[in-house]
Amino acid sequence: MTPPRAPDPPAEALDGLVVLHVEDDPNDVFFVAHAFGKIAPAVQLRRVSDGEEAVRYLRGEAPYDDRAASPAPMLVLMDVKLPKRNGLEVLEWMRAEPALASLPVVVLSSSTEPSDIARAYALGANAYVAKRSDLRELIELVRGITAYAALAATAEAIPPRSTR
Amino acid sequence: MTLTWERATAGAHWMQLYETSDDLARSVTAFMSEALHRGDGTVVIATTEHGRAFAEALAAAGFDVPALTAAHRYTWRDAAELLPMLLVDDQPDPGRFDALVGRVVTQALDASTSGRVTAYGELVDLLWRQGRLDAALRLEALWDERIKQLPLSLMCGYGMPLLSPQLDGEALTQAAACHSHAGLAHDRGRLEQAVERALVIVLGAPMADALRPLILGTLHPSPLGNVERTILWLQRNLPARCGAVLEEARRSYREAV
Repeated sequence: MTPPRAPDPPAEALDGLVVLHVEDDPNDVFFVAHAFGKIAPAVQLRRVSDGEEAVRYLRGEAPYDDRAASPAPMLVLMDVKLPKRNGLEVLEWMRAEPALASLPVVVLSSSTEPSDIARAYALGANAYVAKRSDLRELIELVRGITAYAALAATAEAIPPRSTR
Repeated sequence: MTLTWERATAGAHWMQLYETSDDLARSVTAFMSEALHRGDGTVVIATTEHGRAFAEALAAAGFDVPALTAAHRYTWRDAAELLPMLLVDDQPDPGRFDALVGRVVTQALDASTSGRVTAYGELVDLLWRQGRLDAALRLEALWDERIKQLPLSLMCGYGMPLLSPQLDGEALTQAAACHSHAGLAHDRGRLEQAVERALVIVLGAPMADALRPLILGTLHPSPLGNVERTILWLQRNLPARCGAVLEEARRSYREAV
């Protein structure tokens, strides 16, 4: 029996996709935005620079209460080391919020410590990837993230429960 | 990581995933042959069926197993018999582990000509099969203490159908994280091709191509190889598609035999 096919190429499935990038380093913000612009210009990339802002954005609280200007994301791309509230704390909060418990979260971190990785998965991260210094690698990674976001937006993905 | 016995240095703690006893016997025999050629003392803690299969395979490879056994260069213990004696309140007990396993390992070390011990164990496999992950992880920790103290390399067999929808990915991840290396008794190349082909068939080539850098770039707190990590990634993130990918991969893997 031939298994059913998934939706076709990500390029055709990216219109209207919203990705929230939570990052305080302006260089990383620039490179990620560049990669999205290159690979998936149709994706609406929104950015906040600390953990508390991320929580406000996800809750739809001011100044993010206008969902036309600050649409709810289909995927969160988040650093771990963030001011005010770190990425893992935000992740833990998200997984406890029924409306956000299944929102895909890709952790993009400079730490490759197994304990950090294990902790992120235990808190319910969908994927944990290392920050890239090679732009071509970053572009390929963003290609994968947009493909995953497209599948997730069509209910292909059910993010994991926290295993904590 | 592909299992290469030359790299099985003292201190290595291998997780060996296997599906069939034949695959396992090939892997363990290669592991033990290398160790015996090197002059290591060797210890096998396996079920009767596996212990016999390993001894027969070693004999077929030219080793005089009775002579090696008499010289304490090769020691077999029945895992099924040993396991209940290691447990106190259903958990592996450090004192009993010392008495029942530690002593055998030390004896093998004394008998070695290389100053090293190589061991294969499936006590953890028995616990794993009973769904007692917590006890299996405690036992792994006891082995780890021995590995830190002695010039010991250890292979732990885990019977696990990787392409099965019943695979417990979270448990596999936790068990794998206890090891320094992970190997597959399967034909890794064929398995990788089967999973890759299945991804393309189920998701379509553009989607599979696009996802690949994310899947392979996803870090894992364990030494599992790309194919195992791909399966775990799909199970975690695309459960609605994972079953179809595994089914297609199983078919493709079997066809390639």
